[in-house]
Amino acid sequence: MSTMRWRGTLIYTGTVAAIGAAGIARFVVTPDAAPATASGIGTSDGQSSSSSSGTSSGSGSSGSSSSGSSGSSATDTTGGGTTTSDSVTVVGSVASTRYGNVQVSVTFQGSTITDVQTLQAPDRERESQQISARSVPVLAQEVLDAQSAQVDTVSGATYTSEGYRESVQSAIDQRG
Amino acid sequence: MTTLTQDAGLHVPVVTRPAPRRRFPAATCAVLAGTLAVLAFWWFGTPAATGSTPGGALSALGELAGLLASFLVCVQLLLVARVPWFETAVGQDRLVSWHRTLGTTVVLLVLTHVLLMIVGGALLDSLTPWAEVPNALARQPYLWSAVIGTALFVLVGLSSARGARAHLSYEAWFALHLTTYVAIYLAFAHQVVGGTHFVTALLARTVWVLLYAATAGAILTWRVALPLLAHRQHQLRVAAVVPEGRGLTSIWLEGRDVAALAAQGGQFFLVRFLTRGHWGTAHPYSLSMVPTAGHLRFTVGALGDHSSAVPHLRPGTRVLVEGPYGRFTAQRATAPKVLLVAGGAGVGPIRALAEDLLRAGHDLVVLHRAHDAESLALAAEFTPSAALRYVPLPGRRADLGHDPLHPSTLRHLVPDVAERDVFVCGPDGMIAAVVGAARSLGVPAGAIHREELT
Repeated sequence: MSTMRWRGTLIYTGTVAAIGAAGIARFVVTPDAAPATASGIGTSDGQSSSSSSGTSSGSGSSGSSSSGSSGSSATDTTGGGTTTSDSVTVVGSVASTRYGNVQVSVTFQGSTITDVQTLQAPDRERESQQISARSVPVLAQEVLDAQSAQVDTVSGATYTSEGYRESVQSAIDQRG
Repeated sequence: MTTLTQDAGLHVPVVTRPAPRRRFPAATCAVLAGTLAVLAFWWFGTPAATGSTPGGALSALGELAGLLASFLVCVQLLLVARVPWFETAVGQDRLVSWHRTLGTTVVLLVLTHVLLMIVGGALLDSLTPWAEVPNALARQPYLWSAVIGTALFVLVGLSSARGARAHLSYEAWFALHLTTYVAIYLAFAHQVVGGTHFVTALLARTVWVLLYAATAGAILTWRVALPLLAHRQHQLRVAAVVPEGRGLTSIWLEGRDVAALAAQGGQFFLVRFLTRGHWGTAHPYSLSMVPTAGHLRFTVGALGDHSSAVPHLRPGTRVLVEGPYGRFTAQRATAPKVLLVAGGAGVGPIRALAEDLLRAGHDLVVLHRAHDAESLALAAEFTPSAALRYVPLPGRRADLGHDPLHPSTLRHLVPDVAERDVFVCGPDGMIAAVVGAARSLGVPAGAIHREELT
């Protein structure tokens, strides 16, 4: 049977119209976004601080102090650091990714990395928040295991992983 | 040679014309339902906030285009996987036709996906589109293999386009077409590992993997495993090659338990001769008689370079067949009276169909078109009887000065055509002429059955 000419192109045109319609319906007609995003940022922060208290292995005091500094001075704390006895916490630089900023603080005990706190993680969309919530603890553990910023990319969190490495590396560089 | 004789004892007149079965919409509905499911999956996996930036919105739409393309690729493969349900409900000609149609759609959707992902990503990263390409390639998992896969897809699409297909040999086109499997394999990893909809959703990823596994399973089952098993069972070989009229050749195959193939008149097999110059390709050949216990017969014309080499086949050559396929069968007849129209090599399936129709008790008129009297192959096998009237119509239209299949001639040749089912097999042009003439003489569309020669 001879194939109807242009039928494939017609179906393609119809599909593109459907894709466009789906986009308009999803992004313009039903913007359930605003409240979700606003509350999402709150939970994201809560998650990062709670995960930090969960993963902080050594001294509880350094964990609380670093999360306190992230809460107060927000993004521009690059280069800052706090010292408690012989443990030093260094705040890494802000790495911007397509989904939002990544910033960590790294706690050193001598030359050993004892803790990594997430001060900022991509939170631009709910999707990004989910990815951050899933990938950040994995990345923190990887840094503790590797004792360096050379850690594997977490599957599905390519951009977050890259930003995380960058921020950890800057903290290590500052420590010298 | 066998001849056709009416078996009076089996004469069971069909009284009414039942409404023609139309099961194709069921398949269309299944595809549309699947498309809607993909759309819903995208919808619930894409928060509205994604669209708050132009880059996010374009990327999300690009993901949707990619998901739909990926789903339609599976549909495309299933259409040509020789799934028995599809073959009987839809017919291979229409399946292949839709496979081609969706091919255009898929290639264009893949390109749309690529374009939207680049532009959307560039906006998100605040880069130029050409800077976004290496940026994405460096970051996204398995994107390089997907790029190669996409290039293959486009190449296969171009080779199948109307213009290019005419300049390619079947063998070259087929070899290129097989690389589609490689292309699909290369593109699959970036979907489930890199696709934002799949990395966080285990269920979705499982469903997607199962969809692809089922498609691969269908192809392996019906295109590879079952034909090979049938080959072991039947051990078909070429028994004889017999010239029939001008330009037509009959190939007789012999084997064990041929009746188990359950082939009917009007059906065809994909035939692959296991000898040099032939084994690489399978060609659709229609039966030219209802198979006997030990023999199958195909009558083929000198249509492509492959078919013209058929007369040189040696007896004893092993043959691999897939089938039977096709719904150009006696069951399709909705009326007790039937008109059969054969043109050129179309006489083969018409001859086999006539055998089944006579056995089912139908009253037949056979119109046999050919360029000249010497090309009226198999004419001697249409034995005239009370139930079969055979009308040879040799001669080119230019020499005759008229078209023997024009409505006015057709009405004269077959006055009761409106009461008959019409089965037509031959070149495209002749089929179009017969369908047009039959419709104008009052034959309902559902009573016209056609089989083109490929």
